[in-house]
Amino acid sequence: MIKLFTETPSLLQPRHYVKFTGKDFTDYIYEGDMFRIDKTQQIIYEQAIILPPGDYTQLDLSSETTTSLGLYPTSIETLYEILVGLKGGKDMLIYIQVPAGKFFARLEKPELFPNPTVPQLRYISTIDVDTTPYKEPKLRIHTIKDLEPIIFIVYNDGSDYEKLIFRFLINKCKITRVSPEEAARIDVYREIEHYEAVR
Amino acid sequence: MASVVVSANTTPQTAFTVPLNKVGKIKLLEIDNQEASAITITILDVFTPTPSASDPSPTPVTVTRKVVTVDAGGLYTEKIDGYIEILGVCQVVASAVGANCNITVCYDFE
Repeated sequence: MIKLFTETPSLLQPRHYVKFTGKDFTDYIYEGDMFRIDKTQQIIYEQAIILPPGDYTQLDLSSETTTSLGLYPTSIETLYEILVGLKGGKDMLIYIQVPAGKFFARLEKPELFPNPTVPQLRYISTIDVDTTPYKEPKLRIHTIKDLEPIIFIVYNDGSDYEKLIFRFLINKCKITRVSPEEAARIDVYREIEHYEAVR
Repeated sequence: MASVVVSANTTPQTAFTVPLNKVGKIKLLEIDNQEASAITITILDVFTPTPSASDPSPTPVTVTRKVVTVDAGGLYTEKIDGYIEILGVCQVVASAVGANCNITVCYDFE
């Protein structure tokens, strides 16, 4: 569901299949459910953040509030596949939380969780412009309606104001549920793993 | 690379406005002061930060990016290797009004 690649991942295309694994996702998508991609459309959406040094802000990717980015579908028949690219702000660090307050990536030792306000913990599991460049995005996120909000905590680790530009390439996929009988015959599909399964 | 010329003025003059999804980079600065006295030129960057933890309702901020004083009759040229970054609106303000003091700013958006 949230994954950082070493190369820019390819986008889902019509007639591809996706399988949701790891845990039930929502009230209508359960562990093991499979869907076929019927149609896709690609949308570019850009946002910029300017922060003073040592300060941070939160970006809510969901469509829940008026201030959130709206990167979640509002239809249960839609899957958003999002590639996130960054430019500018070379000292800006991003931490991913899902839901708010719970870091997506952390080490298993209890005290080793990311914390931008503590220098020793500041660089655990950060994403920056080198990790996922603007034109060669390597961070991929899948969103569906009613999923818990994904939050980007953006922290300015530099010594001056910095501007970070986000480029969201949204592959809007219209999906159709595949029957268990048909799913059993499909060998090639993309696995969308629930964030709790890898945390 | 784009360029713009403004005359020295004590009221800030807008040189260029950076699009939301770009960062402006000043790569060359030239000041031709044909006035009878020295003039100090200041390059400003005006922008509004994003609401943040320490400032949920930010107001516009003006940051000084460069200050240069050019003697009467002097020509100052600087190719800015490391460039000057502009996040919002690039303004030029002078210590005195001078119709014969021209400031050329060469810049790119990236």
